[in-house]
Amino acid sequence: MSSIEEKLWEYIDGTCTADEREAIKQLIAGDEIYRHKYQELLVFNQEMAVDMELDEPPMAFTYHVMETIRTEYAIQHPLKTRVNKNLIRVIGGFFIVSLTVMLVIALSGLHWPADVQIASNSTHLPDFKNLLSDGTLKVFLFFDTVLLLFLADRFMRKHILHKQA
Amino acid sequence: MMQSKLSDIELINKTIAGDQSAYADLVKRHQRFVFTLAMRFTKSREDAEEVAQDCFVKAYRSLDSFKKESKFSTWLYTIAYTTAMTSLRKKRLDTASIDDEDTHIQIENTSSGYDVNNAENRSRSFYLNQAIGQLTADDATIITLFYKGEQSTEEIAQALGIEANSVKIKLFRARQRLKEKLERNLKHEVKELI
Repeated sequence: MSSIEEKLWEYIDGTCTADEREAIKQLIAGDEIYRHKYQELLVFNQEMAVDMELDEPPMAFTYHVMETIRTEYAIQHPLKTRVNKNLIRVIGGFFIVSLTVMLVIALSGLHWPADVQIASNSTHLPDFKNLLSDGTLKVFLFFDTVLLLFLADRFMRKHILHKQA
Repeated sequence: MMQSKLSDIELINKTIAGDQSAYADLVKRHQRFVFTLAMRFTKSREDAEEVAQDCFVKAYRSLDSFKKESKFSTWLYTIAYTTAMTSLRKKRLDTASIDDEDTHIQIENTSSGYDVNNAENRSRSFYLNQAIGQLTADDATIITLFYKGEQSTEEIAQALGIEANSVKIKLFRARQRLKEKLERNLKHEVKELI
């Protein structure tokens, strides 16, 4: 510590150690210069704590902040196109189940000869005409179409919002 | 308007849960201080409003990353400080100390135009705030954070990205300069009255 003032400020701010604090306390009690300076700094400190004024922002400040946030949030995450995560999980699950069922149907339609020959012509491929006429596949294709339309709608909305912004 | 009695952390949790009105309460609670900090740098209400607004929008965006170990105000003032500094750099404002000759002359000219009757009515508080306005942005910020932001030297160090010891030294020097300016302004006013 280099000066009386510096020591006293540390005492007032409470940033000195307990030993330093005790030493400064003794100095204030016994030394007229310290006591006078201490009183002066104490008044100045009090003035700063009480009289310093904060600037007042415009009346509509909060409104402007919230409007900026709302606009930004609306552009990044349009409410109408916000997709529930559970819905995505259900769709994903549906696809996994559908593909598994289709794979099982396809594999069950295969004729597996006892002695498997890779280049054999005796392997019978499943009848795809029958598979296409299957009701499950129709539902699957219908769902694909709906999903495609949903994604197209989402893309178009984003595109329009970006244009508006 | 009545402000929410919920703590900052409770309001943050509500905001993260999707309640935007909770964030509006947080803005209302801290807007005066953030705006004042911005004013210390920009010295213009229009620019300060832009900086303060930018600060709150940035804070909203990264609210998820706020670690609740420190005070929200300390975290917010860090954003306010960096936003103000960035804005200052962008606009290349003259941040030279008021001690510079040109600026000094400008202030003296302004004060010499005071109405004597008004000067009599001015309180010491007026001169204190006037002297703060004459400090450099760094000095004014550190004093404002310490006295009005309810921030300890460690928290100020965190907000400004410097060591706590440097804050102590800067605060000491800022107070000395403020005292000098206050005394000079008061002396000047006494001369005006005589």
